[in-house]
Amino acid sequence: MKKTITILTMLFFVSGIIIFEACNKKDVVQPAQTTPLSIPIPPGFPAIQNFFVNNPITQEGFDLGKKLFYDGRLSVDGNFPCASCHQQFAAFATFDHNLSHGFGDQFTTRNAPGLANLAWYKEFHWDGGINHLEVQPLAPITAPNEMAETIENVVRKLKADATYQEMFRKAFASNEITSQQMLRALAQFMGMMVSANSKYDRVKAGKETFTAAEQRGYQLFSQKCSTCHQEPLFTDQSYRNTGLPIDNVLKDMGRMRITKKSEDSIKFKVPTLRNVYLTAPYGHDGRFYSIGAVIDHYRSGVINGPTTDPLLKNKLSIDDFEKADLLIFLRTLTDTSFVNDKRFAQN
Amino acid sequence: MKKLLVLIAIPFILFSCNKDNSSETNLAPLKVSFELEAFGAPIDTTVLYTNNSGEKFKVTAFKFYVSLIEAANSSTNSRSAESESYHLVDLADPASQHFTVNLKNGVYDQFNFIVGVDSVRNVSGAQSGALDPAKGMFWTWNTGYIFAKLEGKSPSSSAPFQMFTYHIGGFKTGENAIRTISLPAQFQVGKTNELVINADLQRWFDGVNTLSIASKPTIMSPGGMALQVADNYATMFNVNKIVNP
Repeated sequence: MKKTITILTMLFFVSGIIIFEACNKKDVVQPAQTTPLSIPIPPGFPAIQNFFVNNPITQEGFDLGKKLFYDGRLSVDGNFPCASCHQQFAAFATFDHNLSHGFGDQFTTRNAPGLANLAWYKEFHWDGGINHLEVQPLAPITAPNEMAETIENVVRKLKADATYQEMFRKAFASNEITSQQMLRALAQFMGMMVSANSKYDRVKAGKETFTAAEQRGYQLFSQKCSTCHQEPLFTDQSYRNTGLPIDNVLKDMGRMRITKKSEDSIKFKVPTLRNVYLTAPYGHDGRFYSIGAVIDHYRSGVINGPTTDPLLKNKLSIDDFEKADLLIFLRTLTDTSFVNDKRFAQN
Repeated sequence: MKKLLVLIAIPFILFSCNKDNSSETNLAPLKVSFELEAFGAPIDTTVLYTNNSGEKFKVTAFKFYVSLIEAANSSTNSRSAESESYHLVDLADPASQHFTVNLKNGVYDQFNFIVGVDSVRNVSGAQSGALDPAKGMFWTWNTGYIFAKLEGKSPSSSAPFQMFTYHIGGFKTGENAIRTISLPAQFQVGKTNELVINADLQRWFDGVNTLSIASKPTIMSPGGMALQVADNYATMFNVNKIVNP
């Protein structure tokens, strides 16, 4: 009897293995070996959004995403890769441009934001119109004043390229190249861009200390700025009207274009202040060429309208000494290791 | 000893192939066809039609999503839904007007679907297949699918090139243009070969609401008029033929 049990137990496993193997014999490409990566969560950061539930990050997907990010072929004439408006040395904003430039000598209508810590963002764009990191690149790729291309054409170009065929196969274990895979690879690359190694972060971790001026600036920041520019992302991701007079050419209604609600008129997303010293100019349309000019706007320029933020209606009282301290503190938000990180640089 | 033999059977059950679910759950194929019509006849893009507002127009593009297809029996309450059920029916692509759905064997008296894309797929990132954004049915600046498109030309239109452009979509509260269609139809999955459904675009203009090209030649964002047009085209479907052997 014991023998029978042993034999039957063996049969149990063997038959299982045979059937299991049989099931695997489908017409799919054998999944190539992938190396899993994960987004590092800096101390004090909340959990990331659920962007990667169906899109596990791998080294191969990240590498593919990086190649796509720096490839001009994603644009109609080959001149406008994502990186043309998102430059690493400018913390992935556009250096020295109020409105970024697109195909055919055209301006876009807004200032290109820096790219960092995107895995923590609920929505994208100054008006929050984009609800998922994967679908964000569709906007610049197809906008006629940005990359001016069609998704169909981009995929066609990728399919015709032997290097891409190999990289897509490695990243997604499939011989087919689809827009979904392209967008997921881009999301993997952008999601990995975490910036949290500024002096501010090192002070918070107890590794360094603020100077007296930085400390005064931080205290002032905590009193006057941090409700909207909430730590650790330095934005509360809300939409607010900061009392900017409307530009009569752009006529940008901000959040209202998305929600169609009058209470959202000329509201824009609170931008992060991480790497703020690298991302000039400032404001949704880049109208401020220095951080000092932004602070001056809050001190004396705020225009009161029906949707002006209650926190700014009475302007901010910041004297010149405080302004200097604030500027010194904001300098501690620069993460030089991020802008020099070879992982995010063009190969 | 009998108990032991059962042990051998267990792995067969545990490891049985998932792909082969047609035999397990009694799924059978049912062909579904959409006949795209205008004023009771197949759409002809060279014909000048006239809507009830007296506006003459020609059609250049007409397409819509048929999703979450389900067969239902109202007396037994049994239901069978197609998995991964997203189909883009396109006037310009005759092949898209016929497709096969796999549903549970049984007798049904309702054929249900939504026109559009459920909210989950509007908020879950990049999709594939019929939902590939390369199909041109996706708003890139305000994330969400265009559920249905009707484009053409009309002397009544004040837009450039006398175009009229109706891109209807929207899934958020207050802007929800998803419309559930429930068509009475006696059919039997496993026996019925084909369901033929008419979709007459006249209903876009002359449905429960009146859409005048002159007063509204362009709709390209969710909310407002888009909801009225969705109410209109929700009435454009009829089961025309049930083909049995």
